[in-house]
Amino acid sequence: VSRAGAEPLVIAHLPVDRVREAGTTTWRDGTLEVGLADIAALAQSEPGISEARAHVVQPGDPVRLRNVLDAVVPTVKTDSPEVTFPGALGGRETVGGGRTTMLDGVHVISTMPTGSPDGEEDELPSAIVDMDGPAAEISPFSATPALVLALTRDPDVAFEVAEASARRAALRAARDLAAAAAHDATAGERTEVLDLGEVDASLPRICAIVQITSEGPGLDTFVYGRPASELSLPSFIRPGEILDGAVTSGAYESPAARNPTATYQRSGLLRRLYAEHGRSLCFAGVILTLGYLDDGGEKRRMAEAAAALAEELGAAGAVGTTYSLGNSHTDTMLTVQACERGGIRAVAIVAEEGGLTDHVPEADALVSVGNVMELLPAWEPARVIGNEPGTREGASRTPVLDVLGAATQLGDGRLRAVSA
Amino acid sequence: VRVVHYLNQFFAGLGGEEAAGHEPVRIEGATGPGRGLAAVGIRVTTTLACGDDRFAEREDECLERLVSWLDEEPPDVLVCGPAFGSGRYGYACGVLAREASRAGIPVVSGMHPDNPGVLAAEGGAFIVPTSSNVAGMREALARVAALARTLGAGGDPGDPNEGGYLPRGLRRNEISSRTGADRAADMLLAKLEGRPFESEAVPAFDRVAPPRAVPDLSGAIVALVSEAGCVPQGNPDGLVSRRARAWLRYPIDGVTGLDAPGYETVHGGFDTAAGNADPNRLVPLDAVRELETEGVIGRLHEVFYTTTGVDTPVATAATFGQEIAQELRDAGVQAVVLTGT
Repeated sequence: VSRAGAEPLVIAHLPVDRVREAGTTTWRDGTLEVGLADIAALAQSEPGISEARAHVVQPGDPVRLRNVLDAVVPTVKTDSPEVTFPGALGGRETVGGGRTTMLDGVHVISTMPTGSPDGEEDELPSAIVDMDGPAAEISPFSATPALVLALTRDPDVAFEVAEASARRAALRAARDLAAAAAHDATAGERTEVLDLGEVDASLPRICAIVQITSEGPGLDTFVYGRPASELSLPSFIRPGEILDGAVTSGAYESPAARNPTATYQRSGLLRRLYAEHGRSLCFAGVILTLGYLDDGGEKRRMAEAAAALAEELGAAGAVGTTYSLGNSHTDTMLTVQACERGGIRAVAIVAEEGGLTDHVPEADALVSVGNVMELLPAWEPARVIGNEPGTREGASRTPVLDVLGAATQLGDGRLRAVSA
Repeated sequence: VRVVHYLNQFFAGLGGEEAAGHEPVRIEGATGPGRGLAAVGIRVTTTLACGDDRFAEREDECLERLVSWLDEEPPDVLVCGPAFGSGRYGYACGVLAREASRAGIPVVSGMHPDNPGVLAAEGGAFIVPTSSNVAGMREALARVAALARTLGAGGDPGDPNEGGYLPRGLRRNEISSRTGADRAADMLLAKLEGRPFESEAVPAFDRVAPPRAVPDLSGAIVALVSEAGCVPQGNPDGLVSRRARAWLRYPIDGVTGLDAPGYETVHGGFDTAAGNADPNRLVPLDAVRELETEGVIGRLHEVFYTTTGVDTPVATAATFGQEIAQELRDAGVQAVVLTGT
């Protein structure tokens, strides 16, 4: 069933096989040359950023990135670069249709120590991306080169100012890389067409229920640049909008189990449901819900409203995703329960903390994306990017929990916990 | 391969119920079921044995002796039992297994799944499920021997189904050939089409039954325990904001309330503004003092217990709970106000 205005999203994927430092940014035959000085200078011009350095890191480098905030896939709206990452960076226009250029094989990764020097403010957990060693095997961001923006916060400026700048800087670098590559691209593209055209009405209608969170600066997911808490959720959104940069991350809880911007852009779940559309199912769209609600009544109401919206979409089944750890798992379980009670078959994707955090009897179909409490073998990086000055990094055993996106509950990893 | 075998008095041939008080002993070579292990290819180097009652009544002392023998010549694998349905024997097997596994020694045991020794092992042993009585000895020994051989050679017994042992309550990570997203989509299609599917995570919660109400609070000692991260202003003992490794206790004798700015919270899992404005809302000392003055409760325990409950592994939190509960018991505390966030 196609909806009015839902034109197909056509993504030109430009392969990136090599990334090199250079004077200016160019893309040619799979080699991306990055003008580091310009990118760093732009980032440093943002308010609240006292210093910005840009680095290129490669898989296999003995490097650890620390205090990672976000990872972004370089992407640009091919015909209107100024709306790329609408609301968060570009103009607030609906995306999810038309042409987009995306670089495959490189991420922009931002780092910034978040604690204030006097230790007055609560520090967010320090997410790591290791380019080698045991954590590299489970991180979605270690297998390809990255452009790292290592940012230092001006201690005299409020956290939220520096944090907003860090977000903008990463999104802008991602857009500019893709824009330069799109300009240089003459061939070598792989074209992906994402379309939800009319299909056999007898196929079961399926929706994805994507849980996001929004608890204030450093803990916000953004939809068209607005913190999710300012929106009226649950709400319908087309899957193409999510893949096209409408949802961006400023939520830095539980590193392994959070969803960096790149996981929304790349979402394998949404792409799989597109691929099945017209074959085994009819992809009825995405429902955004808010997790981490403050009390049981709020959680139940959100879950029931999401299930009602799924019913309204005619859904026979739903896949629920989870953001982070702890009480958001209660939101997931109540959503599964509300769906099942409404006759909608539900599957949920959850990470484990030694086991499940919460459970309802209706949740008989769970996908485990790993036990974040497991310790990885010790590894000592030769070089650390993103650390506070003067901090030493020894060889220690890192919990899976610290590894950015290793157990993302959008389901893009391959980790799974099994009984032993 | 060095194999040490633990038995109770009966299976070690020291005697029946009348020998249940027998002290721990060390015997060279195999005895009792250890000879059965030899028949399936496992040669026992040393046998350790202890009376079941002795172990139950003087656990610390017996355990210390048994562990010291393991320390002297650490085995490649420790075999405990099988204990079948015997609760006391199984408990001793489980506790010894737990201690040995903490020292890095692989442990194999055999028990009926309902034997309390299974829980006592705390996941420290590969326990073969057995019948409730000794009639299942032959089958149990064959399965114990298979696991002992694998573990003694430093091998991986695989998952509980492959290895033939009871799930240890551990969740181990593996890399799947397919992403979580693909597994979720496939699982949903199977569920919709009525095809079989297997959930990848099943609940294994420790269900704690609420204790019975205290019949008369007016004579009871009441304690305050919290994971809200409440500490004296300045956090003198450096309680961490998340992933706590320790709990703390602070004296409150003569303190009428946890008023700001004398106290604060360092918790990293919630907005602490309201808690810092009035820490009594985290640990309700002011309200409980009033109840004490009114005679509703007997008296308040002289310290309050505190930690931060966020990102803490469940096993660590369980240990905190047991340690704090033991102190409260020792102090004769009958009721606790436990504030969570």
